[in-house]
Amino acid sequence: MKKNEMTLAQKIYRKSRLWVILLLVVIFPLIQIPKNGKMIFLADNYLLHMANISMMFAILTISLNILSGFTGLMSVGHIAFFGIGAYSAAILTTKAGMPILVGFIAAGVISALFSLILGLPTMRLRGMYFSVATMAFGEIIYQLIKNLEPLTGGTKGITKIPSIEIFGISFKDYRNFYYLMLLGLVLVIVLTQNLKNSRPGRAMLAIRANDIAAEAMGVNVVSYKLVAFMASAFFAGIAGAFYAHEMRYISPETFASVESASLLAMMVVGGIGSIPGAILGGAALTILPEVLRFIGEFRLVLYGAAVVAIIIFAPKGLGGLITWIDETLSGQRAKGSKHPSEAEAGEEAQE
Amino acid sequence: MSKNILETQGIGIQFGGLKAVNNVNFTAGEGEITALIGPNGAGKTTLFNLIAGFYAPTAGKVFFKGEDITALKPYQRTRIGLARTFQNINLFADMSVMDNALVGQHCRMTYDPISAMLSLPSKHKQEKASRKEVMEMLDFMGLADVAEEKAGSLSYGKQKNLEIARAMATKPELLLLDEPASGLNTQELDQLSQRVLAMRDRGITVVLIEHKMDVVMTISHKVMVLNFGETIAFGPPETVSADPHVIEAYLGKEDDEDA
Ligand SMILES: Nc1ncnc2c1ncn2[C@@H]1O[C@H](COP(=O)(O)OP(=O)(O)OP(=O)(O)O)[C@@H](O)[C@H]1O
Ligand SMILES: [Mg+2]
Repeated sequence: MKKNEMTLAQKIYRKSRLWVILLLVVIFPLIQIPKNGKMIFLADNYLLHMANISMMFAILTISLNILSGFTGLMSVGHIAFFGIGAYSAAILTTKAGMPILVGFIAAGVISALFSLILGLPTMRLRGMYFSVATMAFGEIIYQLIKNLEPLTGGTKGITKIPSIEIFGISFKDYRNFYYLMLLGLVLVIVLTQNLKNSRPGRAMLAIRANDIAAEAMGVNVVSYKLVAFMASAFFAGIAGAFYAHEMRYISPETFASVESASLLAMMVVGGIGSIPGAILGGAALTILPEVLRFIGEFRLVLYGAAVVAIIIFAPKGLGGLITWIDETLSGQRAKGSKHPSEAEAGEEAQE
Repeated sequence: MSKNILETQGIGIQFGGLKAVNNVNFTAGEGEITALIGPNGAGKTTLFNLIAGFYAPTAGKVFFKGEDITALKPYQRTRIGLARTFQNINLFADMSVMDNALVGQHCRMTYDPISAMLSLPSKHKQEKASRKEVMEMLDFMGLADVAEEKAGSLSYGKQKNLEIARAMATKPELLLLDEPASGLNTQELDQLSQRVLAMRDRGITVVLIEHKMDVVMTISHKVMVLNFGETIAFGPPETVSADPHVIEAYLGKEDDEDA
C-alpha cells in the first residue's frame, strides 16, 4: 500500500505540532515586552485570569462532550455539576476546614454521585425526556444553592475560599494558577483521549451512532450511558473546584440554569465530539463577550450572531476547521476518501 | 443428528391484531447451517428479533445451549455466544472499519473505564489481543485493506461484509445472518457462500435468512419455510423444495416477485 509521499515540511509539522502548541502555552505568561523603557509582562492579571477561566470552561466543555459527544445524550443542565463541584470544594475547605486536595476529590465524587442519582431513573428514557430531566435538575440545584443559606450562604455566596498551596508554593497569584490550571486541563485531555480510544469509549461512540447495533454487539447501553454521565459530571465537578479556588468567592448567579445554554453553545461551536474543538469552543466563547464588552449591551446580539454564523458556516465547528487545517498541513487530506489505487479490482460491488 | 444449540418452543408475537410470528418451533443443530425462507413479510426478521431478544415474545420460549434465555436482554445473549446481523445495514457509519469490529469485541474484553482512562497495562494487553483477533475477522471478510477507512464510506458489498465481520468479532457460537446476500453481485455471492461454509468449519452454527433458493439449497442442512408467521415446512432442502405447500406459497411466486 503506497500512501502519497509526505514532504519534509509535512513530516516536520507532524512531529512538532503538539510540542509547539504546548511550548507556546507554557511560555505565554512569561513573555515580556518593553513599555516606557521598562520590561513588563505581556499577560497582565486580567489576561491571565481570562486564560484561567477559559481553561476551566474548556474542561467543562470537554466534560459535556463525554456525555453528549460520545453517547449522544444532551444535558441541558450541565452547569449544575460545575456548581456542585464549586460549592463542595468551597464548603469543605471553608466551613469544614478540610485540606484543598480533599475538596478537589470530593468535588468530583459528589458531582458524580448526583449524576448517578439523576441518571438511574432517567437513562432508560428517550433522549428528549432525559434532556428535560437535566434541565429541571439544573434549576433545582440553582434554587438549592440560592436557598440553603446555612450551607451555601444563599445569595451572598461563600467568601474567603483559600487559595491553593502545594509544597509551600502559593497559587494565589494568577500566573502561578495558570500553570496549575494548564496541568489540570492537560490531564483531563489525556484521560478523555484515553477513554475515547478504549473499550468503554468505543461503546459510548457506538451508542451515539446506533444504539440498537451497539446492544447487538453486547454493549449494555443503559450502563454505559450512566458511566459516561458520571465521568462527565466528575470532570465538571473538578472544573468547579478550580473555579472556587481561583475566584476565592462564589455566588449562585454563576450557576444559574441559563448558563447551561452557554455550555451547549461552547460544545456546538467547538464541534460535538471533538476534544480540540471543546477547548477552542470553551475558550472562544469565554473570551468573545469580553472582547465585545466595549460595545455595551449590543454585545449579546453580536455574540449570538457569531455563534449562529459558526454553526452555519462550519457545521463541524471550530474542531472541524482545525482538523481540516491539520490534515491539509500534514498531507493527510485524502484520508477517509477512497484511494482509487487501493480498491481491489473486482472486489467493489457493481450495483 | 447433532444436538440443537437453539430451540424455540411455540414462540409467537403479536403486533396489534397481526400475528407476525405464530407458534413457531425452530431448531438449529450445533455446527450446522439452517436456512429460514419465506415471502416478504412472512416474519423471518421478526423471528430473528425474538431469538436475539430485541422483541419480547407474547407466547413461547427460547432455549440456547439448553437454557431458557427468554428473559435475557440482547446484550446478555451476545455475551453467551449468540450474535446477529441486520437486514438493513446498521453500522457505526462515522467510526472506522477497525473500530466497528472492535465494538464487536466489547464483551470479550473486561477492563473498566478507570483502567481505560489511566491506560493501565490490562488495557494494553487486551487491546492488543483484540486488535489481532479483529484483524483476522476483517481479513476473513476481505476488509483488511480498508481497516482504517470510515465504515460509511465503503461500498454496499463491503458494508454487508463488515456487518458480518463485526458480528463474528463477538466470537459467537450461533450466528444469525439476515439476508447477507441481498444486493450482492454473482461473484460476491459466491464468496459469501464460501465464507458461510468456512464459518461452519470453524464450528459456528449459522442460521441464514435468504431469498435466493440456489444458495439455500446448496449450503444448508435444514430449511424452515415461514408464511404469514407460521411454519409451513421444516426439513432437509430436498424435502422442503418438493413440498407442495412450499411450492404454492413461496417458490411458485418467485417469478412474479423478481419481475
Ligand atoms: N415492530 C413492529 N411493529 C409492527 N409490526 C411489525 C413490527 N415488526 C414487524 N412487523 C410486521 O410483521 C410482519 C413480518 O415482518 P418481518 O420483517 O419479520 O418480515 P420478513 O419475513 O423479514 O420480510 P422481508 O423478507 O421483507 O424482510 C410484517 O407484516 C411487518 O409489517
Ligand atoms: Mg426481513
